Amino acid sequence: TFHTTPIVAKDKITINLIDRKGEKHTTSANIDDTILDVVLDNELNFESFGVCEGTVSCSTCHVIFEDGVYSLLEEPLMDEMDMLDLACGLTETSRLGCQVYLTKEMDNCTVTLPREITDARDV
Amino acid sequence: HLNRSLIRRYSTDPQICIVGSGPAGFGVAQSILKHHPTAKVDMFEQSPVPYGLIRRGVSPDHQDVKNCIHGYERTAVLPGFSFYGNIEVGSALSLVELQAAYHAVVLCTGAQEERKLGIPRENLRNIFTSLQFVGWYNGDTNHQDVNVDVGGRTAVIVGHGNVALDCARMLLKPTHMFKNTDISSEAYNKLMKSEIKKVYLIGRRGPLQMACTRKELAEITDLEGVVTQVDTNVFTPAVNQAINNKDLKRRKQHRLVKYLMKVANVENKYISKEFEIKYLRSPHSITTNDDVTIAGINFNINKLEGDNVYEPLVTSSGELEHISCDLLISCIGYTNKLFDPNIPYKGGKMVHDNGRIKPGLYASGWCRDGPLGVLADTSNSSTQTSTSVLNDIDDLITNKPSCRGYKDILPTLEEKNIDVITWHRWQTIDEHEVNEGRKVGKVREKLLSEESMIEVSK
Ligand SMILES: Cc1cc2nc3c(=O)[nH]c(=O)nc-3n(C[C@H](O)[C@H](O)[C@H](O)COP(=O)(O)OP(=O)(O)OC[C@H]3O[C@@H](n4cnc5c(N)ncnc54)[C@H](O)[C@@H]3O)c2cc1C
Ligand code: FES
Repeated sequence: TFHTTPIVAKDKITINLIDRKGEKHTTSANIDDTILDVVLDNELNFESFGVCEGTVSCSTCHVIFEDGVYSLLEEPLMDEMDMLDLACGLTETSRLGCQVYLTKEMDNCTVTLPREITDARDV
Repeated sequence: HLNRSLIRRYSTDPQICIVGSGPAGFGVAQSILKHHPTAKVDMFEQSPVPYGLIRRGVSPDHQDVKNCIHGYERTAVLPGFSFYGNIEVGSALSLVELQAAYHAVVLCTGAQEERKLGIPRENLRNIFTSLQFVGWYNGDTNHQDVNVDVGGRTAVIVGHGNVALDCARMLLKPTHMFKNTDISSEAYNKLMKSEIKKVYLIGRRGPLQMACTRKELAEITDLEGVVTQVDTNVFTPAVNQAINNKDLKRRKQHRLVKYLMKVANVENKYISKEFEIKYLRSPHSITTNDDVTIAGINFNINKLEGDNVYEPLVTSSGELEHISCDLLISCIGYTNKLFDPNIPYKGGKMVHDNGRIKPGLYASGWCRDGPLGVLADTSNSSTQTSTSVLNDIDDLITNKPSCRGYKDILPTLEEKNIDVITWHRWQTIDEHEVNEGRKVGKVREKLLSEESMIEVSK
């Protein structure tokens, strides 16, 4: 009796990503991966996303969560807060995609990239 | 409609040119090539080497920020992309020539000039703008002739933004911590012998108006042996009240000021260097003992007035304060060089609609919006501008079906004998710099003159 498939499937969840143009991408993602991993593994090629490659130095991996899912996440650490403060179009449920690890509870959630925004702020 | 779709199918592919190879330029290139696979994107850069301020602005100890280069490299090897370095648009080629040769021209030239303090005796020795000082330690070929003297004890930095903090950190952080970065070796060797023990960071307004981020500040206040001094009078009851308001848009400032209060004047047993942040001071005049070298700087003492604690009115109290110093660096912001008299400007920004100056002419990044914000802001503006280009491109092709892009300007370049640096030649330079760096345990040893870059690339 080989049950390899269900066991693998167990570690996978579905994450819906909405890109900067409003288009939805449904992905199968590994638990414990980051949102940035999901974007890279699925070759979603989102514009200017994850530019510093997950080193918490750019805030281009900024994503917005649904209220319910946001409250499940662990609090951001100081360095994430620092970069988040510089993110374009910050919201109450914003996080950095390279710092959020997927859990089982996040199955089927929808994560939205901010739209193109123009206002630049002081360095 | 039939007519138009026929043209679309049989006419030339879009010929698009980008002026400038910083984050704005590469952002636009990436976006256009992603959405329009048959587009031809030619990038012109005045320097023989690419990446703009990522190479010559971003601090050597912020190597992670430079990871963005990996994405630019992936864009650069796409079939539709070409790089043409060592070509200054405005001198080697005119904007008019480019507009004739391409369906769309996208200006991504950054902000090339810097505000001066505009006070008496600003031209004395050992006074620099951040463009000069940053360019010096980052190996910018344009700023290798500056003679920075770090033999004195005190440096004054005017400005409260992240660039000011970059400069302060270069003087306060133990130099050996830059050893394996891409800092210029000349700057490294000089900074190793630095005698600077005190760095002032001076701004004209209060703590809520500081343009820097908490992270940049912490990179200094976390340094072992550096004590941070702040006159706590600036933390007025109004400021104290403001920072406890929940306001997402101001969260960055609130966190910064809370952090400042925490680190200000913390007792420190082993003090090797002092970092003093001063507020409410506007530069008034430079002082000197010998008419050659700076001896200090006078500041006007300001007051903040009005009800808006975030946007107070700044008035001068009429009093002056003198601070002695041996080195002065002004970091009060870059300005846009007017690229072309025909491009409309308003309040230091180009007048545009989603990056479109007019159909066929576009702009993105610091040249468009002014020198504000970080990489994320620049990337954002590029996504927006490329959308405008793509929206217009079919019409532009219909109106100018005969554009041939680079083929059309090649005669001009040949006539002027311009030694064009292609992407392949840049890769040779890149390899050389990385190899030279490896020999001495650095990520890169930058070439310090355009001549040597051109020579190495042959
Ligand atoms: C000192 C400093 C430190 C910074 N540190 C950080 C940081 O740590 N993190 C961060 O996120 N952001 C940082 N920034 C901000 C970041 O560098 C900018 O957001 C970004 O570089 C702006 O991109 P740009 O393409 O508009 O301009 P630039 O990067 O300036 O690029 C413009 C390019 O156009 C070229 N060019 C100009 N005129 C012409 C012409 N006539 N013909 C051909 N080419 C031309 C220039 O040579 C240059 O290569 C820093 C900025 C500075 C000044
Ligand atoms: S990828 Fe740069 S901060 Fe997440």
